[in-house]
Amino acid sequence: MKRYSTVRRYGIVTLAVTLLLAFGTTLTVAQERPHEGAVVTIGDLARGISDAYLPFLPAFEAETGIRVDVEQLSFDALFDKMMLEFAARTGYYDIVYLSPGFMATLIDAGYVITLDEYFDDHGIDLDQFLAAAIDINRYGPDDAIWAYPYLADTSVFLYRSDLFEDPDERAAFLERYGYELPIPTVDDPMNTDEFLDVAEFFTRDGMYGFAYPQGGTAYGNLSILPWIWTFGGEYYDADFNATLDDPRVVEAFRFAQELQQSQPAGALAWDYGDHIPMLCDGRLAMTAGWFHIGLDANNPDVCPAVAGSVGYAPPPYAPESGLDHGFTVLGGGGLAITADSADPDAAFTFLSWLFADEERALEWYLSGGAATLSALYDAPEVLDAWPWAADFFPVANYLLATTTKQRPTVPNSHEIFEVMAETWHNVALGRLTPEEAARSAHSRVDALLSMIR
Amino acid sequence: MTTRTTSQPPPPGPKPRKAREGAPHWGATSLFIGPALLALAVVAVLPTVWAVVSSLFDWHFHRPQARTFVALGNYLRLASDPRFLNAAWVTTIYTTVSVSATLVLGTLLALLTKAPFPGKALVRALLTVPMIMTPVVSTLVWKTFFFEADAGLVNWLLGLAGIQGPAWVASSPSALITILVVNVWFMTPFVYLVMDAALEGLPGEVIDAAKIDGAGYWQRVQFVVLPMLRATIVFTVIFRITIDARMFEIIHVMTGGGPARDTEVLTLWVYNAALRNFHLGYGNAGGVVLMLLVGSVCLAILLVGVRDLYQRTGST
Repeated sequence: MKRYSTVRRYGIVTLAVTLLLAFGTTLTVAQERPHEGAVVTIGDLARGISDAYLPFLPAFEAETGIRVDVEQLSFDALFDKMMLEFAARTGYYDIVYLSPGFMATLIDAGYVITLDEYFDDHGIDLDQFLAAAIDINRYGPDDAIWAYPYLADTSVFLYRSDLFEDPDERAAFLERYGYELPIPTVDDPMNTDEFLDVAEFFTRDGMYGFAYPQGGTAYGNLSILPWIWTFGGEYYDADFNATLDDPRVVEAFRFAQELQQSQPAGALAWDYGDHIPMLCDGRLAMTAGWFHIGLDANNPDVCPAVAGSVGYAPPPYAPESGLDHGFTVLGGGGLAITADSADPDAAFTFLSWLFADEERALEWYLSGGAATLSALYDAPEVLDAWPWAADFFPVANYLLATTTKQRPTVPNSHEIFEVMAETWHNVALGRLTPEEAARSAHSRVDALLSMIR
Repeated sequence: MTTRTTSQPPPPGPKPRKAREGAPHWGATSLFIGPALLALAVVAVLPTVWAVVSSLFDWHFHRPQARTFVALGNYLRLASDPRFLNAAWVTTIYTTVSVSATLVLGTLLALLTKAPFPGKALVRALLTVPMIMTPVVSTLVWKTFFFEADAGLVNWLLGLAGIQGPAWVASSPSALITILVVNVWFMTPFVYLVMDAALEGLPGEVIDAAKIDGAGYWQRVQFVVLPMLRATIVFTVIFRITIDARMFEIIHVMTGGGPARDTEVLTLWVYNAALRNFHLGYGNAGGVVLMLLVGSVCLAILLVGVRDLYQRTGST
């Protein structure tokens, strides 16, 4: 009987220990994998930086139990689909690419959520990111962050250093314009008059002095907006009154119109990247492009004809503006978490796991991603991998810190951009004078702003 | 004992119904066309009704819950919207020129290839190639390979002749010309195939009789062949109008409606208004106007064409 009691006692103790161990293990696993079984669906643009994070997904699932599905679509397809999903409140996407051009619309509609609390709760230090990568995702009176830093970009100006340093070219320029051919640097950028002269000088048989995409609404707007800023103008003031009927805006249109003489006429219809073939063929003395275009220009595998001969420069400044630098549009975007996401914390967990971890973020960057962590931007590993990029980073850092500005962001931004693109195209085609353009754009933009005032 | 033989009359009761010849078999008919009608209702009728209803509201895509009934307000706004009126004008020019050009070219090609000649099958096959190509891909080829201002084939050829070609898709009216060229290239094979089939079906004896009467080739075409093709032409024109007035992809890829809205047709306008600027009700009003315009034009052509056809054939 005693023996039976002992056996029973041991049995109960063993069972209790086993249960405790099992329960404890379950608790530990649950604590480590709080989102086990969750599925996070991302809607992103089909391009290199999204391709580059796909290989990380299996490791993330193995570690957290969260499966990440990624849909990569063209801009139009993604935008149309996500708007339909949002309007129907399906919760299909947990994370979407947030383009600055439409940011205010989605926020205004309540389709995406602010991430400030998530950064706090997950203990993510915002200072580790490039300021520009955060700034592009800020919106509203309290500057809330609406998307995870993913891509911070702007236009870097590129020039053919071999041509600019060529003694014959320099002599010819001096003779024609009466001053030395300027070589633009961060400390000594070209001014707008010099820029026009240089563009004109290099426009000759088989070569254009300058060219950049100007087609459609997006690039039509992006091709006039920075010049308006550079000459001291703005689309509207703090009270959302249009400020385009202004001599500084007229000057910007006039400058852009004059610069057009040194560009291929087809540039007015060019879209993203359409100038790269001409740049790589050596038919452009100067151009401007997003960072990856600047990096690729000196990559012997991408642009063998000009690699090693492309210099990086800030935009020209307009002396009459009183500023010592010009402006470029802050580009890129972020990954926003949708308001209808079934598990927004799981979505944020993925974003932090990949983009806030230095080791993974570096691997992502080097395999075609982007740099949003300050430590990685021009890390030694990056310079080792891309030796031709050494001259790029100082200029890029300067641009992100000094010349970039967030584009006008209101719920009906796209309509304003349509007006500005159309107005610029009419100026370039000679249908509107700069004065008429400023007046016309002013009244049309003001009418649009009246809807949100 | 009574026996029943087969010659006995059938027991009283309802007479078996005798199927009348030519009477509709409603059960079988419904079974066969029901699914098709249901599919049509789901994919065509319901969206159309929805578009008409939504066009009566001030309704924004990014605030779907907040909609205000404005009755015909959106339609009145369209009447004074210069961008919409411009798109309607561009659509009219684009459709008229494109339909006319494809009709003439397709018919001419069908006439030219009617007579037997060596390699006819190959020529026929080659003529239909554009139709089987993906519109977006072929448009990109046209844009980058043929119409690129600096490195395109067209301007290179013009350069050989000492002519400075324009920036085709970046200036006016060349941008409109480029989308017309691509569309004509793309759609002419369809007209060719229809006309070729119609020509094959024409009664040879009528044409032979005209030949015996001394009619020349073009006289036979003008006074015998084309009148006999009238029904086919009416059908082709209507079909082509419905395609061209709704054309989107070629223009979207080629010019995006630019430069400065010079090639923005109504479909692009609707797309921009509803899906880019989120004015869903207003954009749908534009879509309804487009539908009514196309429907009215096609109905008018059908009525005129068919009436004329009946008069010619003596039918009532």
